[in-house]
Amino acid sequence: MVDLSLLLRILSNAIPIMLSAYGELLVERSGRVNLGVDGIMALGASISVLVSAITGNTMLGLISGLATGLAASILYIIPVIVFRVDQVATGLLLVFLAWGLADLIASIGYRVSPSIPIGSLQYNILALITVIIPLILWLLMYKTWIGVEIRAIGYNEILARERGLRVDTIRAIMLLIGGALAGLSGSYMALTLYNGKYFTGITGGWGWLAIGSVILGYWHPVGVAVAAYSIGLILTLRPYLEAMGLGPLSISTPYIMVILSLIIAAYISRSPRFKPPRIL
Amino acid sequence: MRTKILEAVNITVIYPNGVRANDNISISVNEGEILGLLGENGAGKTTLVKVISGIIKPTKGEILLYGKEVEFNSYRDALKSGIYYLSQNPQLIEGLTVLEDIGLTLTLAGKSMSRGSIEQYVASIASKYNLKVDLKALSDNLSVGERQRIELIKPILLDSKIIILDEPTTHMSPLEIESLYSMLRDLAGKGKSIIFITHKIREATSVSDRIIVMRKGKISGIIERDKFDREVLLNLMFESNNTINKLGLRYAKPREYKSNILEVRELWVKGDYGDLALRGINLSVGTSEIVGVAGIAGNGQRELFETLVGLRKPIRGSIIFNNVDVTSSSPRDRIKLGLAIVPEDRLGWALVPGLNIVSNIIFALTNVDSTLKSYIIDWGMAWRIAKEALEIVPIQADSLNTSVESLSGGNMQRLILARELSRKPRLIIAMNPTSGLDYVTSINVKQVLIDYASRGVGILLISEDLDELIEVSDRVLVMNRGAIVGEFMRPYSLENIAKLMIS
Amino acid sequence: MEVLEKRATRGEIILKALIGALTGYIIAIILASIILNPSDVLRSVLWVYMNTTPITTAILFSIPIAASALGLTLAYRAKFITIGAEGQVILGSAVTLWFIAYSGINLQLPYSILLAIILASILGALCSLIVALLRIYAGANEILSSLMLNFIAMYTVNYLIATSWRIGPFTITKSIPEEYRLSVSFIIATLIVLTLLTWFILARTRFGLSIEVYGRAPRAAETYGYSPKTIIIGVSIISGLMAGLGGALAMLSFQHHLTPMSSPPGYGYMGVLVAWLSANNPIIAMVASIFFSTIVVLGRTLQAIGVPLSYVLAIQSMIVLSTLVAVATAKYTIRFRWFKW
Repeated sequence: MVDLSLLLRILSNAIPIMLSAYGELLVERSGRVNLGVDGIMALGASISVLVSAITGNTMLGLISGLATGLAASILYIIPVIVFRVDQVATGLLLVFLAWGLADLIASIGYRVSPSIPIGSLQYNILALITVIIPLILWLLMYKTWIGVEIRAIGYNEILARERGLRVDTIRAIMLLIGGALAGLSGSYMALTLYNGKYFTGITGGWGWLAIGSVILGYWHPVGVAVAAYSIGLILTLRPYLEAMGLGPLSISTPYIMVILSLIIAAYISRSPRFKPPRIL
Repeated sequence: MRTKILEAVNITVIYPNGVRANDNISISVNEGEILGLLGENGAGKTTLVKVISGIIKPTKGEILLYGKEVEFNSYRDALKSGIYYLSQNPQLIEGLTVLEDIGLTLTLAGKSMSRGSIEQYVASIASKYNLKVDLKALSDNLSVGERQRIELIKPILLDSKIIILDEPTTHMSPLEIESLYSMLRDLAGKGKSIIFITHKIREATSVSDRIIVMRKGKISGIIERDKFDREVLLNLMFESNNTINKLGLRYAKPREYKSNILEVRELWVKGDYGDLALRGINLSVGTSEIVGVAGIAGNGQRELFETLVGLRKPIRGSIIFNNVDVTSSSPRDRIKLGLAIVPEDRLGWALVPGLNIVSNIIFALTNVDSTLKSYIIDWGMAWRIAKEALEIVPIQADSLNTSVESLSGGNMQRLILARELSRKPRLIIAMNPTSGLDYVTSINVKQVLIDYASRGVGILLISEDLDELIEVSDRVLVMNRGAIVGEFMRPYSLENIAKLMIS
Repeated sequence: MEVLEKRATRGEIILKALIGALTGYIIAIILASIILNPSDVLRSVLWVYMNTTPITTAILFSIPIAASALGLTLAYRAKFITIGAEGQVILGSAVTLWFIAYSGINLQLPYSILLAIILASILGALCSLIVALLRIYAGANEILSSLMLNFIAMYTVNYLIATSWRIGPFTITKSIPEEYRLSVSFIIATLIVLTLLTWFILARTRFGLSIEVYGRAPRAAETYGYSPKTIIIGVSIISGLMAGLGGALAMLSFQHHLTPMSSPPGYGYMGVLVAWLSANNPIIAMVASIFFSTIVVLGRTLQAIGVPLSYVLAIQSMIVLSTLVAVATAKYTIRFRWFKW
């Protein structure tokens, strides 16, 4: 007998991971990896709380989170796409930068804003979007020529450039979308999961779990959706595991899961039929 | 009266390191003509057509299409304007199916079609020009020939007005070459213009209406079909008549073969994709013998090289080097026994970018030589060893401290040879040792190999350059689809060898 | 958009790097000033750089940063991109605290400290080794796996602080007794020794040469007898060892006890940043570590006027980012064109 409310609770935890993961999926399919996702989420969270508190409107809060993510991704796009700076370094730097800025902005005024409770209209819209996006992504990547172009860039950048594919443009667009989704994800976390509060470390490292989901889902939209949901499952079960006395092991389960998915993905990628995009 | 369809005016391309790949070049291409672009390696032909195709931006100069100036910011722009460039070793993007790859090119050119239409058109083109392709195959597993056929279908699908082919025949059999020529003539008859790049005079004269000869970044001559003359063209390609005669190879006295330094028995090796790259290879190299391995690229040569070096393990068979079974030995052990390696990739395999000349010499010695055994490096001794090595084959460099990537290709190859020879090897395995080198350095390299052979070193020369193999080898083996299909002795018949290369 | 490579002299690159670093620093300070009181911020900045106490404190803070960074210069040159220094520093300091304050093992003074440091280094090395083994035998990418281990380390130590190590009602641990605490001069000496050691390994040993060869030309390394496994395991052990060592020295010189961490303290991450900033050069890394630790001191001072502690890493990140971009402008010319989609 499956408990629907449990499934929904898992979903509410999985939503931020799924949103960020979809964005990162697009980015990685185009051959880049944005390690800054966790930071963008934090920044989105911080600013959305601020905007919600000032305007009293949580919808504006969500939108501002999305916009923040869009703007933050520019801090990645300019160094990496334009100036060819190392993407790993830029991504990590972005995380630290964004964490610090998020805290700095929050220090202006900690105001508990109106929140988005589970079951409200905005929540339902978000939940619906989260489920529909993988279908849209699947159609895009496998049924349109743009999708072929995106995948081609991800498989072989050098050849893609020679052939005249729009490598930089497409990557920039993917990064913008990824940033927007990460920002949205962060604002969801603040406004829904934490009832309209922002605090240092609000993301709990969930941005990294989103990146892990992309790998666990083996870069396929439906796979990523399932993977992110599973991680949501583990996160929801975490307090139960803790109560069972597993101590630090229970807290670490999601991170261990990411490590496991790295191993599994590496194993699968040895077979030529299942080629992953070349990210690094 | 032919209309000028394309004009390149005063094209100059200067690379950041100062090299003038194209120096004030102006050419024009007429409608419905096959233009041969002839020149030796490094003359600047590829650079010029890459400028025309929008892949490279010239430092100076303009392109005019139908008399109007155009600016190409990328290959895509050129594609859209009706220009198609087929590179020397065409690669398809892995992970995509052939259909997707073709469709992608169409989309870029602004002519995207549904999958069904593509299938239809490709089928008709394939039958008309004898270019069979499997649309459902994954791009990874294709042979060179298949890749080339796909690349030839694309411009026809696109209805490109100007088709540029960069050394298209390197991987083709004589039969396929004839097919190609007739296809080109057919296309030209329909008003398409072809630019055909080659370094072989024979090819240029067979198919072109006009030949433009390039030398060292400049145009040295433009000849019409009725005035084609091998001597004239040769002169235009090279500095002066005399150079060629002076730089003949000097052979030592006839050599005696004492014993086999290398014996390969029934070698079976798996390729990267689970297929069989080598099937039952049997070969031997004697002391003082130069054994050439001919074949079209992609028939197992790379895997053979890697297996002999020790980077790939065979599933069956044995390799006996210097009377020692090294089949499961590491590359290091083989080098210790007297193996010298001259791989195809200079920077990245033979040489370490970012390190200076001294480091690039001693890194290949520390693990195999007893002189540099200690954990702490004695740089004084290292410099001395490096200087000694360079006396074998001198190079031109400002100092031994210069970074190795700033050396020219020729100097890099000389450095590699000097280093490998300083270990006093018994066997040298070289792969395409003169690729990308200018004429003088090529002769240099070949001379070094001949000299060392005369001193008792065995040489296995794997090369795509049939002329080179014929010049230098005592025996020529032919590789095809992972097996040795023939062995030839002097005097060589180019045709017979070539026939085996493609069967 | 076109990106063209151009020849840049070493001097150009260094100049651009310095300009970039300074610019990043200034922008970060300005941002802080916008959010808070500019004159307070400025006064704090001046105070940090013009007085001995903050400079001395900075030198103490620099040891976990520098130790991590130095080890990482070797790892990064071997193209083993581990971010695990953070977890290793945390574990190093935790095990040092445990050994001295909780383990009940009482030896004579210098030996106690020595043993604690050795334990911390070994733990750091083991932690790093796991990442290396995951890469070698499971093909798992070291960037993400080391990052995950950082979280695991942090949460594990937090758990210990909150449960078995806590004294009294507050989550705080015992402290390192006075006599165990290390002096500034000792730290300075250690800094210099570690830097020289790292430089020596890189420039004068066969292992160092093998790192350079493998990092730049892995095929060449494989062909000429350099074992990738040995090199990766080697650099992972060295970098883990040094980070753990840094953690131990941090605990003994300035930390003295632990409180639960809501976000990572960051010394390990700062080490990563320093390694990048220094182009993996040990000497530059040492100097940069001290520079970064002055920013840590600055951050602590600014905390009093409301700047969050996490802003320290943000300032440092801004510095590194603008330096990397500035250096990129030296190496590339970018031409923008209006592109048609």
